[in-house]
Formats: sequence, structure tokens, C-alpha cells
Amino acid sequence: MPKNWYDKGAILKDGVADPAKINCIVDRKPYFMIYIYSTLRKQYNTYITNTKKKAMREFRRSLDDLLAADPDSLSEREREFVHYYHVRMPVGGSDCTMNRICRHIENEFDGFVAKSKATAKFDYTVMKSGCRYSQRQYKSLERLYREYNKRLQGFMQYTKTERVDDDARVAWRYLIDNEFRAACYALSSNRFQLCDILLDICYRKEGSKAFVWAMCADEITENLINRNGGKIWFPTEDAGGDIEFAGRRFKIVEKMIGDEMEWAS
Amino acid sequence: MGIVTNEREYAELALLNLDLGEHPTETLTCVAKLYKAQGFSRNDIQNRLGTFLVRCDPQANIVKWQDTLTRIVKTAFKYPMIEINSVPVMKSEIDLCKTIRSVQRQRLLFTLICLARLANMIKPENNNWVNRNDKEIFTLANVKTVQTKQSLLLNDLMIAGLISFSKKVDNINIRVECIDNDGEIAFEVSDFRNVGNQYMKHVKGNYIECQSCGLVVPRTGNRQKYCTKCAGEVNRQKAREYWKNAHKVYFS
Repeated sequence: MPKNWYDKGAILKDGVADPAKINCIVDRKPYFMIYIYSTLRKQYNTYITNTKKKAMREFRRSLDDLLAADPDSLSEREREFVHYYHVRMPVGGSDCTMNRICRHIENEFDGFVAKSKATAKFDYTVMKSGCRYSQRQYKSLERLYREYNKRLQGFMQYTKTERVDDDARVAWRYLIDNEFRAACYALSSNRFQLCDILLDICYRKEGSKAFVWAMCADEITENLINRNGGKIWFPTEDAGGDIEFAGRRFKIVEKMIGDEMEWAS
Repeated sequence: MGIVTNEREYAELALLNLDLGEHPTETLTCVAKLYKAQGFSRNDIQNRLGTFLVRCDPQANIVKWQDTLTRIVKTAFKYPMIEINSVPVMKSEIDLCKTIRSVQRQRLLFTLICLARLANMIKPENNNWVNRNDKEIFTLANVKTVQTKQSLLLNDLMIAGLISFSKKVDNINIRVECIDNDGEIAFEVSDFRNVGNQYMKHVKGNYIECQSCGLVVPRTGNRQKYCTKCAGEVNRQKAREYWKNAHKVYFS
């Protein structure tokens, strides 16, 4: 790729720069690429955070306020600030198709997670079998839970920075889970008791619930089915069904699951 | 880890206690600088760091750490070891702080002066710049407030001409404009933990220095000797001793 396609310096070096060439230069990635490159996203976020802070520190005005203001109403230093804010922006914010799609999706999902938060408190005891356990077992498993979270955090960070492919990630995660499962069974050999302890550890406080679902997903499912008298309901495709999803119709069917299950004692 | 002003002392302590601390990379850098000062070669330092790491954390994967250790050794050779015992603060600077209207701003300015002085001592061509993040500065200053208010506090100091900012739009470094290098020394800051409280202790006096860890905390009672954390530990220690004495017969 010729250097004058992406390096402003290369154009300026030749002498008098052609304004058309300067405008066509691709010296930064477009905005939507922050969702592809994590480093670029970090760079962009840091830039935005710092400029927001700087605007408040220097002018006692928010950055949005400065950007929205009429240039004639700004002081010379404020105009200079706004100018260099655009010049030094690490991503290109032009109205290209991908950027427009990206902004549309961002607006659509803005605050979606916060809005969709459940108001009623979830009663996790429905997933428990009611086994008793000692305080010592609880404390030991709590230590293991903390260790698992730390390990998983490091692992996720590593896979993100190294851009590890999905298959390798799943395989590694499986190995980590297996290692911790063995450690859990060494502390509590009754799988339903283990499930209850881990549910108490993970659901009593705010925090990651990944540990209990990685260790005891089967036990939780069995407990829920057991509590429901062995009945389960699931959607199945049916032309006369009352639920429409992805262009097809479904209806809810009931099924008894019983004899083949191993119930908690 | 906070701010380490004496890296030699910190590294010697880490080697003695086999403790990597909260930030292992920073601890390893200090240890690498110590080894460099002791005259070891690059390869020797890297090997020794590996050994130290495994002794501190037997589960550490030394293969994964190799690149980091190489980088740490490179840093140790690039930057000299910091050995500063205390940072002097001039009387004129304290007087200037006292003239400011609110206590929060006074603490903040005092902290910025200390940090600028420390940076100047580390690198003489620093020109009174403070390039630490806001969270660290405000924690050191013992000023608890929201981000917007933090920016407004800094703006107040800027308007008063006591600090200035970089011209770059995304550079949030602060330059302290009121450093006095030729005045009379009022007191010396040797502990970079609660700098804001140290200022308050010097100016108002209703602060105490913990007899166990040396942290400066607000006085909450006439008999107070320790900070909250140490007080709990001392109480537990006393309870253990009391229990041991009360059940002497079992231990004899």
C-alpha cells in the first residue's frame, strides 16, 4: 500500500499538499471498527473519557455542551479545543453506511440491559434440593469459588487479548471446569449437597453465578424438574400453534419425565 | 502498593517476606532494579526473578511469564532505582494552601505539590508536572467526591493560577505552578498513603498516626492509638493473649 494513502506526513513531505489528497487520506479506522478491534475500542474510550474530563476542568462545561454550542458563542480557546477534539479523534466518524448502521444499533440498544433488569428478587431456593451441609464445607467451597473467578477472569482476559479462537477457548474452559469439579467433589461427594452449597455461595451475594452453573447445571435442572413433579413444558413446531417465532408457529407441549431420573435423596 | 518512594527498601522487604504484593509486575521491577544495583547481568536477573516468582507463587507458569520478565529486566536497566526517603514541603507552600477557601481544595493542592515534588526528585527535568490518574490523586488527597466535582475542584485551582493543564485535548496531566524551591522546610512527607490527612494533621492537629502501621487517620476518641484496621488486629491479639492466660492450665 502506498504510504501517502494512510500517512499525512508522507503527503506533506512532498511540498505543497493537495487538499483533495488530504481529504482522501485513510489515517484512522472508521468508528464501527471499535467493535472489531478491542485495542481501538480502548483507545477510543480513553480518548473520550480524557477529553470529557479536560473540558470540564478547563471550561466548567461538558464536552457535549461544547460540541453542541454555536462556534461563534465559544471563546477562542474553546473553539481550539473543539477543533483539536475532531483532529485528534482516533477513529473516523464520517457518515459511511457501516457507521450509520453502527449508530442505529447503538441507539436501539442504549440502556437495554438497565431497562430489562428484573424488579422482583429471584428466589434461588427453587433450584435447591434441601440437603444439609457444614459451615466448614461452605467456607472451603467459597475459597474455591473465589479462586475459580480469579482464574476465569485471567483466562477470559488472555483469550481476548490473544484473540484465541472459539474451539480452543471452549476446550480450555472445559479443562478448567473439570479441574475445579474434581476439587469440588473432594470437598463434598454428594452432588446435590454440593449443588446447594454452591447455590448459596453464588446467589446469596451479588457476583458471578458461572461457578455453580459450570459445576452443577445437571443437578439444578433435576431439582427444578423434581420440584415440578417431573413435568416439563417446551415449545414444539406445529402449524396450528399459537406462538409465532422466526416465521414459524409453535405450541407448548407437556411431558412427564420420571423413571429415568435419579432423584435427590 | 501505592507509591513506592524507596524501591530498595521495598524490594528487600519483598525478598524477605516472599511477597509479590497486589501488583506483581511492579514488585518484580523493584526486585530487578535491586539485582541490577547488586551488579548482576541481564540473564542472571531474569533467572533470579523467575526463581523469586516461583517461590512466591508456586503455581505461576514461568513459561507464560518469560516475556514479562524480559520486559521487566529491560525496564530495570532503562530507569534508575528510586531511593527517596522523604519529600520536603516548604512553609510558603503550606501558607498558600491555608489561604484557599475549602478544606477539600487545600488537601488537593497539598497533595499535588507533594506529587510534583516527588516527580521532580525522580526526574529533575520534570518541570512540576503530575502525571498520575485522578483516582490515585484524589485517594491520596483523602477527597471523596464524584468525577464531575473532581474536575470542578481542579478548575477552581486553575482559575486561582495554582495549577495549569496541558494544551493537548486528551492529556489530563497537571502542572503545579506554586512550587517554591528556596523556602524554609515546614515538614517532610515520607509516607505516600494519606497525604491529605497528613496535611490536616499538620494544620489542624486533630489527626493521629497509627502506632502500628503509621497511617494518619482522623482522631475519633481521646484514647485512640490505632487506625481501624490495626485496632481490630490489636484487639484480636489481646483477646488471644487473654484467652491463653485464662486457660494457662491447659498450656502448661
